Amino acid sequence: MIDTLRWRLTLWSLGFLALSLTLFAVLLYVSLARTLYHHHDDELAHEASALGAGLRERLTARDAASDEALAAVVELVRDDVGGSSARYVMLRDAGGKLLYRSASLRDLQPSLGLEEMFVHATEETGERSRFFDAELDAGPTRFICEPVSAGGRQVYLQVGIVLGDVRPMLASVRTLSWTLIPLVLIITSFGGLVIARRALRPIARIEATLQAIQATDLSRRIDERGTDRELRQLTVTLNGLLERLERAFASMREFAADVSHQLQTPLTVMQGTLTRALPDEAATDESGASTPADASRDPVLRGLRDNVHEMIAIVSALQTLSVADLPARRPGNAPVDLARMCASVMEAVVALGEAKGVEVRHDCASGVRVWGDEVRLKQVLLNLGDNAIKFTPPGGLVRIAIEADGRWATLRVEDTGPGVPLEDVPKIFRRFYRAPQPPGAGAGPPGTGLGLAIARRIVDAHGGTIGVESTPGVGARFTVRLPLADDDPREPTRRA
Amino acid sequence: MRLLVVEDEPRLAAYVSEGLAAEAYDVDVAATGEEALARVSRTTYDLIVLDIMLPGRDGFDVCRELRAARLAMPILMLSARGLTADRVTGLDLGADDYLTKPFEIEELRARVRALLRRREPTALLLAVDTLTLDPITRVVKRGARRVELTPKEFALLEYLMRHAGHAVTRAMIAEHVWNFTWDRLTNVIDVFIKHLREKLEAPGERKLIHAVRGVGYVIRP
Repeated sequence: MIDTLRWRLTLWSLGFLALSLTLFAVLLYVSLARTLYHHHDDELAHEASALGAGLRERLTARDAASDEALAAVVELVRDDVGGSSARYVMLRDAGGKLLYRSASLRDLQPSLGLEEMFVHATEETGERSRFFDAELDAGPTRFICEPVSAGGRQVYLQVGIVLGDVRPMLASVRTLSWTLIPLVLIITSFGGLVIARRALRPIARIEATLQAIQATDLSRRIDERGTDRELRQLTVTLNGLLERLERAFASMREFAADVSHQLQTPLTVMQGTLTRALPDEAATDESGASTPADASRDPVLRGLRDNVHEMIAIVSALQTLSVADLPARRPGNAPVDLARMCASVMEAVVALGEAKGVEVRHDCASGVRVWGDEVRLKQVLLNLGDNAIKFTPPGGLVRIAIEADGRWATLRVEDTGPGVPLEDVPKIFRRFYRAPQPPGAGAGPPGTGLGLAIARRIVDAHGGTIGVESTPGVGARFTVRLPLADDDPREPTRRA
Repeated sequence: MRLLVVEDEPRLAAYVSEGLAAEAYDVDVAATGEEALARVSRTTYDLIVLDIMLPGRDGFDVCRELRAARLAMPILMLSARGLTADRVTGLDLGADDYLTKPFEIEELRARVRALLRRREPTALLLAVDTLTLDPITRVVKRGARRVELTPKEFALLEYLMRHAGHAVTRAMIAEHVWNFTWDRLTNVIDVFIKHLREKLEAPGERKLIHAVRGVGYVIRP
């Protein structure tokens, strides 16, 4: 499934979407966090500088000497400056000693903010380390450091503000991201599949048409109307290719037809000359069969004539072969009722079997109809019947059955001959393949080696399959499957 | 009987004309369609053997022209193409029979004889010796004995009896009695002839169906 273009397109677009959504979420989160943490910074700086100014103004050298007095001054300044009671205020000396801390900070570790103060104090500009965050019970708290020189003493003022519910806000943003992104991806993947399928639908249509064309009819073309511009070029190219293929096949067919045509006149003349050269040919003979006297009549001419007969048979089979693969669905062709066709053909096949002493049984279900050319479909049945009788010794049995099987019409021809050697199975449908002459093959001339090749071409042209199963020494079974005519309201009923 | 053979291939023309001349027909040969039409305008022919593939005006064209001129002599077409389409075209244009190359000269002679005979009116009841066949009621009798035949056997016997006394080839039988071509039909016809003989020629009765070597079969008293 993953190897289809549709799925790969979907997966690729999904991958890119996942990547960009994640990037978007991370950037959003970082910038949101930054904004939420920093949005009190100006306020803090303003307050810290106000407190610092107040301290410088109020703090005398005397007060500065005593820590208690210093703390009292700070309280005083805080009252002057005002501001929220939620503010945390600490004051340290240059040594880091905590000189004052607001009531809200009493329960906390005295070391809070100590390290940050030193970092700030030792830094050149101090801008970068001016702010720091601490985690208090009330929530994340942001502090500012403000160095103040007041009353002849260098002290550090640290003012903090609780940031409130920044953390739950960010957490909910995280949660939303991790749940919404997969949800969006799932929805998009369905959408992507649908889009990919829609986008590939013209290609699927082209493929279906090509499939039908190569199975049956090279004269068909892909519809060039209604395709998008990108695919129209492909369609036009494919149609051009089909055009050339069709012409190549047609010229092959014409060549075979021309060759057999050109051979026919000299063969006719040769046959006539030989017939005239052989005396007493037209004499009336009761049996119509060869008499012992035949053998004594010029065996050279007789052998020559038999060979000319064989050549004539081959040339005529070549001609049949050249039209065997004309497409089944052509103007003028219609659904063929195989049972009706079978009836007229079987009589002849049974008689041919009788000539050799082979019993032929047939069983054709009625109402089995396939689309095609009745003349050529008869040829298939005749060639297979001929072949089966040829390879069945006198006293043997050939069974022929036609039935509907799902969406297929099945024709089976079974014989009780020597079977097809396993290594020859792939070869028997090739042109000019001739099996070793079977025992008791006396009746009839040697084959042209084209009968099964013709049958196969005709079956192919009708969109069907032909195959052989064989048990050496027991017999062979040829099976032809042809697609049933689509508009066929069939009720296969058996007929004896 | 005067016959015209229209054939551009000299060897085949010689083969056909000699073969027909041997049967005591007067045979003229034309090599092109134009020449054939010119000859027909000067001479009345009893039958024309016409090849389809001719330089210039082809056999179809000549056939059409002759029929348009209301000339009714039988036309036997020759073609190397065994395709049904050609056959249908030829017969549609008014040809009376159609022979595919390669053919035996005896085949051609038998067909020519059949075509020349066709103009004789056919009897309503066909009879050979004590054998009678009624094409309308489809009743076959040998003397007083009623003979039951299958449809195919009946068609075969009717064809033989319509040409009683004249040999018909297996190819002619195949074309007229079977509605498909098959190179094994010659063997099939032999089997049907055997069945007919078994039914028609009871022990003690005169044999009616005879094999003609190199040709086919004939029914005669």
